[in-house]
Amino acid sequence: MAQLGAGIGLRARHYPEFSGARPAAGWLEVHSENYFGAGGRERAVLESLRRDYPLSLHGVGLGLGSAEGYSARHEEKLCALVKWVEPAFVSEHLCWSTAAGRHYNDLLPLPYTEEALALVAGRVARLQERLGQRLLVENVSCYLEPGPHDMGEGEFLAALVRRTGCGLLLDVNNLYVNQVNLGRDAEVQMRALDAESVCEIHLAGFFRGEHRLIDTHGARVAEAVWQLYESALGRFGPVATLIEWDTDVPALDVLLEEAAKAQARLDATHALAA
Amino acid sequence: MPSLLEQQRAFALALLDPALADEGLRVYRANVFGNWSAALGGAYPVVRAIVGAEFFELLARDYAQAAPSTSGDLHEYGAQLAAFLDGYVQTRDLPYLPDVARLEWCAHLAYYAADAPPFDLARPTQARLAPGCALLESAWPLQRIWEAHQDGGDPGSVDLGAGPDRVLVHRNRWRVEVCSLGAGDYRFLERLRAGAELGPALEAATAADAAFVARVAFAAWVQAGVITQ
Repeated sequence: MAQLGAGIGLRARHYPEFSGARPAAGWLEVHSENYFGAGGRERAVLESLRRDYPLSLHGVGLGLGSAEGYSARHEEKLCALVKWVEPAFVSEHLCWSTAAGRHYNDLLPLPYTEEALALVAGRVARLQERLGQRLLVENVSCYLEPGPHDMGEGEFLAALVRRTGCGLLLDVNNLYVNQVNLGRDAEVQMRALDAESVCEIHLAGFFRGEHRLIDTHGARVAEAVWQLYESALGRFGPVATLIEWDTDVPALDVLLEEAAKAQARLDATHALAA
Repeated sequence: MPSLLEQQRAFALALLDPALADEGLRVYRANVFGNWSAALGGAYPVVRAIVGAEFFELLARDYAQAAPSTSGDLHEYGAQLAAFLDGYVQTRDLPYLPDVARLEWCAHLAYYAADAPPFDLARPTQARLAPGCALLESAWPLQRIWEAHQDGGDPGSVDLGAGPDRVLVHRNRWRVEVCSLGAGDYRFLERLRAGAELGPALEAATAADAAFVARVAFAAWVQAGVITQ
């Protein structure tokens, strides 16, 4: 899917720009849960866009690593949506989200243990079977260490790929956030991954808090993250790349500008490989 | 070492306990409550406008503690707000607020409801209400409250003493609409919702309201997409 180039995350704020026009984005990614409804405007927008753009369905609520409360119903809705949309990519986060009868609606951090790996690998394998396509699993940003690890983040992701044949959605911004917040060396995590396992890259902007970087998806991509991205392209090749923006979503042109910056780096990687 | 389940339960409890002030935990707590509050505000813009953004944050926090989120789809979050407000002391001075919340949840469901095929005049006995249509009775002028909080409306213009209201919530193409109904229309649509056939539903409406003209009403609700099959 390297030919997809740079895409953008589509949010409702930009529906008007996509109504009747087709802005020059290589591909679009949407949050799966926003289209779980039976009908109405959201489904109609997606129905129209799926004819003109490669689409990616990016889930935020499944919680592959929840030790309890994992929802078969949520999985069912996702499968039905995938069947309808026929997306280029389907992705979920490496996180957990439910416990003690409550859904926390956030991407909560997993310890990188054998126990967590067995749980997530089982869910990923089953989901891929149901979807009939490869699932991409994304590394998340973390604000604390959830418990003792048996292995590093990169090693965990690589092991998950080996066990399930899933792909990775490598969020380079999240790697950087975790490097700053928790001292996890981003380059070390990337070195643990097989080049062909990385199918998509996410780029976004963070908020610099007093003691930590907060992964708000509410700013332009930071310079340090662009550098890490270049390193990632050198290692993994010209992987399809997405600009994500979720809070204080700016004018579409700003997203397209960021996507153009990613595209220029993808082109340079292509040229180097040629 | 605690199991993954034990670790996650402990983490979950800590998230809900503001006394635990670990820096990283505070980031997660802010994210979690922020996500819930944003979802609640998205489903209840009128309630939010009535109580004000600042108070709404407190209300959202109390609601989150009282009514756990149970779905990874945040569009399902907030279903119990009306019931919660029925017993919420802090908004007791706004006795119409629970009914506004009831109305807004219906509007929220209508927005995402299945698209309905147009009514087929060749098979009139199969008439039913379109998915997402809801009927509500209230002691308060719900439709006026709703209208005053839409774009171009004037929230200060609502006379809360205007008396009771019967409303229909439905979706007109992509836009949710709320309209006040007379006794006849309300009975007609309510009978259809209950599964009655067209003939008996029209008869019940005529009995309830002498001014109800079956032919006119039926045509109008088909036209509005409220009656489908």
